[in-house]
Amino acid sequence: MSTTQQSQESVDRFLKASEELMRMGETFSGNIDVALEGFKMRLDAYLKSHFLEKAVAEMLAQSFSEFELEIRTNLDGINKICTEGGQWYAFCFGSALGRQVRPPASADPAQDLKAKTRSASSG
Amino acid sequence: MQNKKLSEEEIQKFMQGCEDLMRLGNKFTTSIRQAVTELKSTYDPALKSQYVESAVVELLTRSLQDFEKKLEANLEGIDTICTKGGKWFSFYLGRAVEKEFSGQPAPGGRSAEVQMFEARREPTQLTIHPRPLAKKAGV
Repeated sequence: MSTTQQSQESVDRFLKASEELMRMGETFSGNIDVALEGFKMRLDAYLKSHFLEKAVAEMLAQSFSEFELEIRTNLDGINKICTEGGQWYAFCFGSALGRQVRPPASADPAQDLKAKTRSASSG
Repeated sequence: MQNKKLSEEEIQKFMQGCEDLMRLGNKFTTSIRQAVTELKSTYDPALKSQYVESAVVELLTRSLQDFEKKLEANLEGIDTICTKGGKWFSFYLGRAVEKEFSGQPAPGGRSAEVQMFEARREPTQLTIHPRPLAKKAGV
């Protein structure tokens, strides 16, 4: 096997591995989303029962709704890193090697995310 | 389609961008952890009050603990991707660039950029334990 072929293979392996890593990130954030949904379902059932005061139920529901918003905003950010960020890695890595790589749709990889972090952490 | 190789300046910018992106990832996970702490600070006093039946308190506490455990397990995975994964990307990109430049060495040695990339050490083994994470949250 020639050296060129070997290095070509190692580049392909790296690009594949980075893709898998990003997919893993999406899976993790998807798992959190599923867990949140499950907790919400159970919480809704408890809050609708007659075993707690109405005012307390309202307060807990309000808290959870704020919490859910915060979690989803941050999960969106993580998903973006794993999708767009991953594409940027592949693009830059490929370009550095002079390969033909399609650039990701967004021009600035960190722009949207920065805006999101601000809103997420201020919320 | 892009066909041109990146310039050293573009690579520098990209490396910086990578770092920013990974830091953002860590920031997102920190925000999620903070949100959980805030939620608990509301729930704990309410559940300790006399306005909630003890059976509901028990069920709700268990659900919250269960949720928190799943959340933490998956956040750890995301953190690992953002820290170690990011380092691997930089390492490989640095190596690719180094190879690129080593074909045409500069007269008094290699360029400062290449030396900088060389200085980047190979990160320690990246291991994300796929153990019960997917299973746990998929329940």
